[in-house]
Amino acid sequence: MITKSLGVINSTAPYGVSNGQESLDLALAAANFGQDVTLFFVDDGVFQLLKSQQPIPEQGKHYSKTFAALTFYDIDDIFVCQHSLTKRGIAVSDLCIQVTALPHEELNQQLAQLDHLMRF
Amino acid sequence: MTLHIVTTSPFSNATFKSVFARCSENDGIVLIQDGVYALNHADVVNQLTRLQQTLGVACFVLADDLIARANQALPATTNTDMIKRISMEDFVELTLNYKATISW
Amino acid sequence: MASFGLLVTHAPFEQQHAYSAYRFACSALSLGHEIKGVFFYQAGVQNANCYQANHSDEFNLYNAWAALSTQHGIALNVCVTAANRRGVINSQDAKDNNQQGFNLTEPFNEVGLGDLVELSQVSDRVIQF
Repeated sequence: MITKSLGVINSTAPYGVSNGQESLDLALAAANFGQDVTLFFVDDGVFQLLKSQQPIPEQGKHYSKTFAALTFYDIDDIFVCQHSLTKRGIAVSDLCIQVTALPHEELNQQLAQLDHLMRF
Repeated sequence: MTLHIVTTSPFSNATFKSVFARCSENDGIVLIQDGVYALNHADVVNQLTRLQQTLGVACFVLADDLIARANQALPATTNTDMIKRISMEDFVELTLNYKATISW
Repeated sequence: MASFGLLVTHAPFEQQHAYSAYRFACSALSLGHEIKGVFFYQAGVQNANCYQANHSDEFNLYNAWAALSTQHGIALNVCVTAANRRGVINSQDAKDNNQQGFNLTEPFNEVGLGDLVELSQVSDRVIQF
């Protein structure tokens, strides 16, 4: 019986480092095992969610396509730092999936509810 | 209540800004590895002091990592008294005082 | 007494993280706490490479992990996908991929990410290094 929830925090941009891809692998695996998973995108992590990314294989896997499948894994709580979006000139409509953009205090309240937190 | 474990120098990246944004009331911050260089960074020390006063965010530094780096409160930095020196054993116990940890 | 799971996501030598994780484990044990397991992910899988050859005057983290595991019965679990991507393979992987050698042996084990989920279930705290 899986009872402890997991928050996965994405704070780094895609392609330059493998964090985003391996974080997504982890989130999907955890959800597959029945763990309650909440995703957070903060700081440069919000860049992972941009629509219309066009990497060639030599630049890294186009894993952002997989975000659309999160809902099939019952990962529906996806929180994005509004402040990080604003600072980078990104609107919620620029993102490839439906997310909840929150100000610091509210996002932190969501973080505080989870049993374990991992950051990538 | 979250314990933020900070491992990088505030002189080399913006991690501390990210950590401060994620701090809620009564969270804690523990400086380890290159995070201990925060003690040399006057702005960061001021912000840590302010967070302690406004949100009750306690701040700790791993004494071993400080000593290894010859970095015990250099005169350039003022008022680091609010940053409590702790041992690795203290760090272990500290994690149990918080609901979860985030490593930065 | 409490139980801990450790998640190591950085390689040894390049960075201090894995050494901090090891020291954390030793301190937790000395205080009477339990380490439920160490899970190696991302570049952390390099900790499991048995071909690491340190200079004799340097701390040998590989041996230290192995001793910790043997003495305290702590599982050293390595994510198979992350490991294989980085050239850390066990004997079966070597057979499957026609490789001449392998560098992941006991007491390190190749596991799936499900083992990290399990570790997080049985641990009061999961600390990432």
